[in-house]
Amino acid sequence: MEKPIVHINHVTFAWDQEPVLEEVDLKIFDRDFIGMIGPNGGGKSTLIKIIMGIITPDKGKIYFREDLPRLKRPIGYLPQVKNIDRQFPITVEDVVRSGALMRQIPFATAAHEKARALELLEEMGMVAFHRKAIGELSGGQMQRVFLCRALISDPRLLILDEPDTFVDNRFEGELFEKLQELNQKMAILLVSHDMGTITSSVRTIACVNRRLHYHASPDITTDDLKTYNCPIELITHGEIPHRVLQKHHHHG
Amino acid sequence: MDEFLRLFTYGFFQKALLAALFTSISAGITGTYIVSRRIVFIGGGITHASFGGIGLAFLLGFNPLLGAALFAVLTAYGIQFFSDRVHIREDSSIAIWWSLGMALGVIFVFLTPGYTPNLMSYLFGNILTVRTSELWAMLLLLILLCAFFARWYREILYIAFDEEFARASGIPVRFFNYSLMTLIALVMVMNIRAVGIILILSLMTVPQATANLFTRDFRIMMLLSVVFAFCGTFTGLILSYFLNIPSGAAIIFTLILAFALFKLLKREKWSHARR
Repeated sequence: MEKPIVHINHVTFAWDQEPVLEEVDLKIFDRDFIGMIGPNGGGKSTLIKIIMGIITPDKGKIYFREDLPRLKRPIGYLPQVKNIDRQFPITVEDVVRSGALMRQIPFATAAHEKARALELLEEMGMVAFHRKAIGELSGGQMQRVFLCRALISDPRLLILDEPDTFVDNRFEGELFEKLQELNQKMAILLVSHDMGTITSSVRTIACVNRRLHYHASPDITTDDLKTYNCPIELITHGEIPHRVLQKHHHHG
Repeated sequence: MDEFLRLFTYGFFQKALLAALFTSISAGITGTYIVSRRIVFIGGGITHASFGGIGLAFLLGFNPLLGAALFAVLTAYGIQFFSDRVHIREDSSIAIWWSLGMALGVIFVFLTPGYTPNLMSYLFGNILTVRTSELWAMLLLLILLCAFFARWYREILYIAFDEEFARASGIPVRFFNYSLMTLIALVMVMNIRAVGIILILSLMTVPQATANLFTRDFRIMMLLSVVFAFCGTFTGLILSYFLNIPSGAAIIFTLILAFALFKLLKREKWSHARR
């Protein structure tokens, strides 16, 4: 049987006695594309921090597959752009290079690191901006840069924290195309409030509201959400009919 | 002009010039860090709290800069510890340590018998009376600071920019935070001689603000800050000597004037470019 690259096993976590996650289980396999939804304060960000090793769970453990290098977690992370200090004096190139910290094996020389950073920026159509300060970019451009930062470490799992907020429509399309392409090589965990994003690109859904309910299909109904005790404020786009309100299959 | 040139042959002036150079380099580097990280007011807390140490040194009769160093470092740790572990809001924590140090200083100075003639020079600085032993201490600290930044430049930059990401990548973030706060506290204390407790903070923020007008690259901002800081301290030093005003105030006044001038020039250029 195929083994998961990451196995979150019975993870429980509380901030100051206040339970945030209880008995959370999740297996992430190679080439998975999981959409993570849930209400604000439901524990999504905490779960991501636990997967990344920024905080340690009170109970339970995170396992990485044995064949993966032990040194650093094989994860690429795209933060919410709104959490970034736009005034900070740092160049685009340096932001991308900071991602090399997450590499199992560091680049042989600074020149190699720089070359790879420029190559990734080139792929995202951002190479012309490499000397610019991060704050001079638009939200969409910043996300491209942070995607480069996530990719420079050759991750096996890419975590994106609400990449669809503050992004121009044109980039959103490009981003999701790019994600499909990246998904050939790595698993993706996408946190989103946007049901359109979820249903159009992910393959499975994880609802997080203190507990985690795994839904093995991209189609999810409001009834499902109720059973999962996972009330979410959905962003929908105009009057485009949504699968979320209709069909009711693949239950459980 | 003659008198101006002769100035450079005086021992006290040469020492002051060296002090200005060391001060500018250390304040330029550490200032860029605290401005970028938006922890300027932690710096304010540290410098003001160091007054407590100066008071204690007066009372017990040891070197005031040692007392200041002790209080500065303890305050740096105290602020960090209070907001990390005790869950007090950071700005409140800063205010508590800031005023505690000042209050202790006032009490100690009050308890010190007799007149405390040097007190003013610690509050407002007097670069023209800097001693050789103090210069050595400044140089030593400067070397340590430069070595630290040269060796771990990228780690420092990445932690300052995105601490959470740095923590995820396994850099010992806490070690860096505490080490840097220690270095910054010590730099501040060493710079008390040049501009005094009350004005140190501007030496670590005004040149950076000027540099920030021209660059948004951390490395270049550090270099430019050092240059602006040195031009400011040098000019301030000359003004202080010829006009017979306190060096600290003269230096800060020059720095702020330079900032205002560049800011205006830049706006002028901008509005031209836009037309």
